Amino acid sequence: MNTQRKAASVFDRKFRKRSGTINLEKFKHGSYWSDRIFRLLVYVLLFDLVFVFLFPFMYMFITSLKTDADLMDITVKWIPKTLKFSNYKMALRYLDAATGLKNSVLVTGLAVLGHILSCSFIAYGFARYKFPGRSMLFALVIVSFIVPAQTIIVPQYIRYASLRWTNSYKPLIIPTFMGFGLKGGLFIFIFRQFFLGVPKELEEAAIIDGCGSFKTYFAIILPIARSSILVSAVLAMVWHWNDYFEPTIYITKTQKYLLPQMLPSMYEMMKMEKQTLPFDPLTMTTVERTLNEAVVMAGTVIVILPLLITYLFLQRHFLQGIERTGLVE
Amino acid sequence: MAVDMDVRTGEQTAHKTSFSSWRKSLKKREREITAYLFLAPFVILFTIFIIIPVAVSFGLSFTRYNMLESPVWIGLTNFKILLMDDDIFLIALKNTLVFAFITGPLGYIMSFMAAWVINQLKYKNAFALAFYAPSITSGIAMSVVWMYFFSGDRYGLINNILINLGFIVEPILWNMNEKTILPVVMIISVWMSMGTGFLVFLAGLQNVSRELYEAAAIDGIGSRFQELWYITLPLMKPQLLFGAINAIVGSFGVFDIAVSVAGIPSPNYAAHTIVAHLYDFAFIRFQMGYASAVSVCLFAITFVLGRVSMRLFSSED
Repeated sequence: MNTQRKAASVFDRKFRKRSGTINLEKFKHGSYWSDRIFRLLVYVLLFDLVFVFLFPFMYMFITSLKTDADLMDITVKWIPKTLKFSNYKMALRYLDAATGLKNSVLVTGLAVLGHILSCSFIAYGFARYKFPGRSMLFALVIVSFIVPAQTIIVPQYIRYASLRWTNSYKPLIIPTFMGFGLKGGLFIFIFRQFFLGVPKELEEAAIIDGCGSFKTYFAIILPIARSSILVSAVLAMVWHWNDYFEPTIYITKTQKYLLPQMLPSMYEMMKMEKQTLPFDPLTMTTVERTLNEAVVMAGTVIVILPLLITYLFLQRHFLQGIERTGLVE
Repeated sequence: MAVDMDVRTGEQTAHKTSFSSWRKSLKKREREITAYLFLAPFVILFTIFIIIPVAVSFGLSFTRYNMLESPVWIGLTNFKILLMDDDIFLIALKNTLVFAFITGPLGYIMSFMAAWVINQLKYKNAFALAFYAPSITSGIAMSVVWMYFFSGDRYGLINNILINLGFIVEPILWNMNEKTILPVVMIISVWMSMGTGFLVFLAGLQNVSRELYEAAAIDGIGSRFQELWYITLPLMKPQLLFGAINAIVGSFGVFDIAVSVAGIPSPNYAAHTIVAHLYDFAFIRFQMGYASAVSVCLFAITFVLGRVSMRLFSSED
């Protein structure tokens, strides 16, 4: 008590000297100039880092629009002289992007839906009901996301192969409706955190009004979990769209490939194309690069663009959602 | 992760209700049944698709099994071969450990520092987007872009810069040279590592109340780093734990970047990881017994590391 009072008086003497108001700003960040320099340093460092992080994207977008002449011309670094949109047309053809896009959208969309429905449902059970074995089951949920998905790929593959699910999207989609799938445990965790914070009175009121448990859940609880839903949906979307490991294992038929899976086969095709080119002793080394590079970059843009655009639309709400749910706490 | 605590409070309330009257205990019974109904899909299918297969896989790791003939029990032979004779597995293990112990902490610290710094700035969201963008792109796609930077001829961006600066005379064959493959994979992975962990850190930092910093300032905390050490970090334990687990899972599961940079098998197995080894035996050679042994090892390593980080960051102390 005494020390506290002492501290307070020291504090008063130091910071209430002139105006009587507390100059906390000054107190916190040391002197004005050191703060300025610190800030400047931070900004410089940060912009460097941002540049490093965004450089591959800039390079990719710009290269994808270059003509062969621009690609070979070393003076053309950033701004191509003419934009060659036909690179994209070519990439679309080589990628078979229409099929890939359709497949990817189908799988990702269904997987996201599955994750949201099942994980929120299961999480509600964990958050609201007390029953024997709850902690053990929840420990299993935790384990399911502290070990990489690859550790259970062998048994899963054997199981799915015995069900004849390979070369279909079932191994990618059905598990999400059961609450696991790609990092399903994490989504259960996110929803559970949210439901734990929902006041019990809400459900009690609903039950008094004659709602059953399941109706209460679907009509009252799920709709208020909007931010958790959004966060889980965005994360699930990103992970499923970009997942490469599971699709390569389960899907081996080219017509069923997902979009990212089509990239490697596109490179192969580009290489073949290169070999059929007439031999040109002058540009021998560069033809290979040019032919590949612009179209390959265009292909890469096509693969990542749908996700980037969707994310840009959702980002503000997504970040807010993460802030609100805290994700883990 | 605050799991234990709410279980405890749940128990207390359950005690009160169950002993108050017979009617209530009946009601509790009803609630239990509803609870099981809520969890039933998870429990049943988790058992069918995860627990049984994992148990089976554990069993298979003691057998020879190629998916055509029925498995043959061979005892510990798989593990003996794996740990004693399989040099390639040892290379994969070494590569994975090197990879995990460098990129894991590096990505982790970087994402925390970046989150900490940009949390104090305006235009937070724009910066967040810039750092998060690599993580929402597919690894297989972006490593292609990176391979153009690391292209083995003189025109490759990195070779070009290094030659112009006079560090090297001959271009380096980045994705062929045994010494450079793994570092290239690491660089790309670090670039992509500011993912969910980073966002969670950012959210956690935002939830630390301003008043605490003001109170700490009064108590004599001077610099920002003291603030970080004494206030921010202790308050962010759950987020830090989440980030750590994320980093462990990510760095031990490294596969698609390594494959698209160096292929399977990579030159002299220089970028061979445990998961690549697993993939090789399971889905190229179809030696499921041996592959199961590999995955048991991977499971053991990640599980132990996960438990260790849970210990480290547990909010009990």
